[in-house]
Amino acid sequence: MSARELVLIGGPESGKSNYLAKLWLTFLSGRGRLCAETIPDNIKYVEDAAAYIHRGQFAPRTNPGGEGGSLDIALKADGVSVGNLFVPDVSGELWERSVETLELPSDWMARLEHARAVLIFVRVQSPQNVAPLDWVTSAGLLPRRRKNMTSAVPTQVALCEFMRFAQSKLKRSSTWIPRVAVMVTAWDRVDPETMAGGPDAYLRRHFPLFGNKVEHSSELNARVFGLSIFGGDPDADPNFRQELLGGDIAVSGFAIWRARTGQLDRGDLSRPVAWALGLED
Amino acid sequence: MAKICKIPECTVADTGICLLNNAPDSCPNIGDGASSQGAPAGSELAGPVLEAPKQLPTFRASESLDLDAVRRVMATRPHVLIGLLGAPDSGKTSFLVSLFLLLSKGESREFAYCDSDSLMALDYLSRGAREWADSTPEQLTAHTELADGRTAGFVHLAVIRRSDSKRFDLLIPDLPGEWTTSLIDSARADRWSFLDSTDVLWIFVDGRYLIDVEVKQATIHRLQLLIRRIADLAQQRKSVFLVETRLDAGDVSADVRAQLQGYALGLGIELTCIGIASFSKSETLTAGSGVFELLSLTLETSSDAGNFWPEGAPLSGDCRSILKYGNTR
Repeated sequence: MSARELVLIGGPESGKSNYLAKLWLTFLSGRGRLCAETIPDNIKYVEDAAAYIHRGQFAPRTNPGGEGGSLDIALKADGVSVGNLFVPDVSGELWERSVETLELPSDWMARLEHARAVLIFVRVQSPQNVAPLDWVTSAGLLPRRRKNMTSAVPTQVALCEFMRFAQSKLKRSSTWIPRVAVMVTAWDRVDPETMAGGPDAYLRRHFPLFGNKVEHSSELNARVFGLSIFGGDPDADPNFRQELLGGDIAVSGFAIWRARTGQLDRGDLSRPVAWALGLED
Repeated sequence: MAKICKIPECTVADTGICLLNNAPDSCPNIGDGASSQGAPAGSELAGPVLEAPKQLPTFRASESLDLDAVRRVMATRPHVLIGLLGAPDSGKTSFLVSLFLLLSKGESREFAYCDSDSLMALDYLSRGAREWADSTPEQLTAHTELADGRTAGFVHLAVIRRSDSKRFDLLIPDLPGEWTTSLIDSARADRWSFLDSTDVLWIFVDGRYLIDVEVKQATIHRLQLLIRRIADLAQQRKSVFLVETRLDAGDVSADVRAQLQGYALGLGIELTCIGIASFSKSETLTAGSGVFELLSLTLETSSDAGNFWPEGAPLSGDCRSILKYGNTR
């Protein structure tokens, strides 16, 4: 069986760890597109995060200095074994630093070079998102003799850089164009009109540089997914949380994407991974 | 301390026996352990004081492009190479920043962002990049050189024209205004060797200097000199745009434009004048006015390169040409 590796890329609090934990539960439930064939030996990392999920809470931010965890699991789809999946988790600070320094620890660079696909995360309405400058602010920064920049890299510029990193390192062959699944997390927070427009349109509207780069990408096969871990926000809505706790949390949540037909499709949270691995188109 | 002999063949360091049968302590050729030959094996010298910094693997930077990188883009895809000239403070950098901000906001109905090999360079400029470091760069900065300030190079911007979904790869130089000044004053053409490869030329001028009577004549004179230098330098005829910046301060008169266009025509150059306001202090004119108009006109001009395979008149009915094969019976 071939081992397949995915790399999660995204800034701090973009939703990587929560997705990994919920993905684990989806695999275990046996009701997603992808299911766990066996239970791996080392599941402490994902189980620690899953403990929050089961209480209707989001797992806290990944500790930037701590040892990251991973999910290493044998999977099957439609009853047929599809091989092993290895997904290491990572703190967003590592990727944030990579945009500024262009450096990545050797083990992570090696993972990127061996991966079939990456999942790039951006969270709707995250307080960490940095908007592009406007003309007034920029005009104030332009005068001569200015020696240092104080403003942060806009989030959409960082996202474009992540995609450029992936483009330069992911392995490709005559039969495989590397895939990029753009994961727009907290998709349940958008208004109904935006939701109806789809996550790709959301990206082009709110992150124009990145959204358009994804749309016109020719060297990578890119698709945008809107994700909701629970199907709603238990932090903001106590009623929803009670509903969640009364139901089956393992199958809560959804993914939305625009299919090749142009229609919006909806499925379980393992669908983006299935697509990224090339198990579906 | 181990004994080191200045004579390379002497093995006193290993055996303690001098090649010349001198006593090791009194031999004139003996030195201490720290000789020019380096520390011998078994030396009591401590290891290096500082450890070499750990080198992490890196990604390629998306800074401004040097000529090699520009040539790579030119060789791999259709492109529009623009020559951007203008005195210091004529608004060249402001234009690049405004163009980038327009694309970042995604508000244009004409163009959308597609990609950039120098995205971080554009982002640095828009966030108030460091000024040219202590002195103006002398030449296009090679990628291998460490640069503390802005690097003189090209910005790459791929845009999609929404009307026909066509992609255009723009290569726009980000060069100090002093280079234009030295072209005028000293005919310093070495930095402008790429001008002949350009598809279009943009000459930037602060529009206020073509309006203010105190400086108008001098400005027109300098522009005419620049146009003359360009005419001498560029072997091939090309489209030239005079970009009057700071449009929010007022319009340049039709007379001034006609004067400059007439002068250029005398040298065989068709000069198109356009006003832009990269930033704007006026309430009636929004920031970025004219930027995409300039881009539109430029792309229309540069894509008018003629039909590569023009259809000729068909041959008359009696005349047919057939390839003759060597092994016809």
